[in-house]
Amino acid sequence: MDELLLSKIRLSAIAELLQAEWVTFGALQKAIGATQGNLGAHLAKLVDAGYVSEEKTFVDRRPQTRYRLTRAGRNAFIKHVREMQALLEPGRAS
Amino acid sequence: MESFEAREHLDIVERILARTDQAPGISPFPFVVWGIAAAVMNVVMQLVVTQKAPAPLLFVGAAALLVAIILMVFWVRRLRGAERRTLIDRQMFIAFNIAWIVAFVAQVGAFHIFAQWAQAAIWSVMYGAALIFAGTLVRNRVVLAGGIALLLSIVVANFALSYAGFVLALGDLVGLAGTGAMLYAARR
Repeated sequence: MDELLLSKIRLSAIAELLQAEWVTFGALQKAIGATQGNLGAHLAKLVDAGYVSEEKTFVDRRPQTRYRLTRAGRNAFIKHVREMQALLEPGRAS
Repeated sequence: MESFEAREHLDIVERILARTDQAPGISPFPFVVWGIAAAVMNVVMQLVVTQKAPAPLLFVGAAALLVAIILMVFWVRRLRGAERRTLIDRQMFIAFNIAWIVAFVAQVGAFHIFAQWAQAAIWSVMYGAALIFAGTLVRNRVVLAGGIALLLSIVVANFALSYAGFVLALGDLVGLAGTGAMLYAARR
């Protein structure tokens, strides 16, 4: 199991990014329902691990932070999900 | 990790993927704008070619093109404020831009080859292909039908050359503007 993805918030953030080119911090916060500080800390861990990339930009003179899933993040997510599915296979004890 | 936790985490992932996979919000706006602009240009061209209207009427077609470009600039600027861009949004954006660039190059750079009605038909070919690609990609029958309508208009125009401009304009209205209108209606 990927230790980094054992957190529900980090797993949710990766799942939110899976079908997106990019998602803003605000949209992630709305979708996941985490506080700004909490989500920021979790996303920082994902950025540090190279699972997610962060891009700061300005839209209508207002700062906006966008997140993208990296190839490493996508691969890690797929591997993690497969491992969780394997755990649920009949005959496999936890 | 315990199996009940794995089940819980997989449920979370499943819910998120189901929500984010919902029918991608294709914006109807460009379809309506380009459908009407292209139809105006084709009707004007038909009237001028058949000498039912004076040549200066061509400026109306040029004005329609200019208005469409201005509207698209505003639309793209508004898109910059979006909170997320899906992978399908990006693929569609690429498909329609490629269609636009190829048709533009063919019209402006190869006007000896794409002469007369081929100048208008090349837009229908490229946008028809882009709509069929988009319709297939997002599994949307309305968009797919719009692409087929555009391609059909070329076939019909080929056999009704005296009215080619009107036929192509009808294709633009049904295939592009009509698709946009139906997408708007589906949102309500």
